[in-house]
Amino acid sequence: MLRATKGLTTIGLGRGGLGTPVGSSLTLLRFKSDTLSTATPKDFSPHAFARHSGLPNIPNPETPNKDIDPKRKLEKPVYERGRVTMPQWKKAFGEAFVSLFGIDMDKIRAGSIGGSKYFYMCKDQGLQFKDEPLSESAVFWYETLGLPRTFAQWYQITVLHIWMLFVRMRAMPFKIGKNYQQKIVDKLFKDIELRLSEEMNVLSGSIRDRYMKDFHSQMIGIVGSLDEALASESDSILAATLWRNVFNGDRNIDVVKLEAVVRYVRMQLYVLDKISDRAFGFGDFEFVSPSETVDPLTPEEEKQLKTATRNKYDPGNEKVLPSQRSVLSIDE
Amino acid sequence: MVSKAASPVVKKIVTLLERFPKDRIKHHATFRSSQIERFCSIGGVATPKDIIEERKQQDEAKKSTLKINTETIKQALFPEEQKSVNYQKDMFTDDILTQQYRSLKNIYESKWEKYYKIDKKLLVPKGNPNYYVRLLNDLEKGGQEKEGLFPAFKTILTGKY
Repeated sequence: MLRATKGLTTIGLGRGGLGTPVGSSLTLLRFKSDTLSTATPKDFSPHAFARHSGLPNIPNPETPNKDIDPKRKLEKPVYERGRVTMPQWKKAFGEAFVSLFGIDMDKIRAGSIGGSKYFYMCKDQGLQFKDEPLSESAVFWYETLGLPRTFAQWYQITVLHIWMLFVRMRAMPFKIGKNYQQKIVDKLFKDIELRLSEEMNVLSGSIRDRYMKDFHSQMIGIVGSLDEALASESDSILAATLWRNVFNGDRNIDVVKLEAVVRYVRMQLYVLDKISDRAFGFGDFEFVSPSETVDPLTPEEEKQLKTATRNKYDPGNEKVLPSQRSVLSIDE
Repeated sequence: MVSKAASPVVKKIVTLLERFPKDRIKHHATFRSSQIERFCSIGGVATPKDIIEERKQQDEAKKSTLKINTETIKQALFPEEQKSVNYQKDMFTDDILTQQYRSLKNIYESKWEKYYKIDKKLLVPKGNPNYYVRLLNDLEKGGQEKEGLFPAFKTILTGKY
């Protein structure tokens, strides 16, 4: 499988004397400005990489940090909170139902994987509430990169992650991929509407609608320009797009941090490129944390990955349950 | 404050930024020109004329899209407040500038694109093989050209581009 190494173990321990890691991996070392290293080792995680910049965060006066107190917090659905076990009779009933009516499971899976699991994965990356401790990935976005803790910023981060999934979904068979994309967008806007009314305390429906139209046109812009960057196969265009959207066109941008985000995006796309349609469609993909790094696979490792996927989804001798049927390719 | 020795680094940054590709379509803000302006100001180098022109055009374009221009209101309320951007010049030492230059160079040379090379699977997606080609073609034309009647029908009926 893909090798991902914790930023702390590679840097904190591998490079002794540069800093003292305290507690969690989030308190990574910080180089003093007089010992700034000009080299950029490849085993740096994007998080450590951004932290090694000597330039302190310069607040952007155009995007003030004006977060508001949430009225109440929306809860995640039970089936996304952790391990859920279903009673045997329900499972058996479900299998019989699927088999009897010949239900197309790839269509059903788009909702539970694309519209639920993958959506919550994207949502959680930049999710934060005022005066509450940040999650590991949120520390990267808000503390290390110094982005404002606002709803609009959360939206930018979420759409960036959704776009990465879009890139992979386009490479699935047309109908199935489109369905996954549709489900994730539907869920995003449904969630935004709920968050605006329940958490952000926007009581007027017409104002919510106006915000959502604005978010929608932003989404078209972000996805379009990120696609342009991907198709041009150039980091400079990707960096310019990220600067315009994620960094809000900040004139005092720290280029080291911009490079860290460019690297983060490239790293995720690489993992998405290596995962097969079947594994991705069944929800086996997880975003690599900003404090982890990915090493490119050797041809040998790629073969191992393919065999592992085949063993998991097509063991050969066992009978496949009706709910596990799929036309998605195991090899590609 | 930037020492006199730092100015070669700033010059290197500015020349590198000038080699960055220009945007295919116009945006409200451009990474390339805004950063050239910024680093010229930090290093005390004169800003190139075309960048100043571009900035003016962008400001004009912005004015026409804004319903309420907060800039004019701000100016009327606080006339003494300085209008120019604060680039925090004191923060930049030689080391920091060199580091910024390195990162910019990595971005320019597409270091991470080459390191995490993705293959045709994502770039020519099998669900929609024409997607990126068509997008780039449209952007090359400035994103303004409209589709003909029959191709438009085809897009609507098949959903593919």
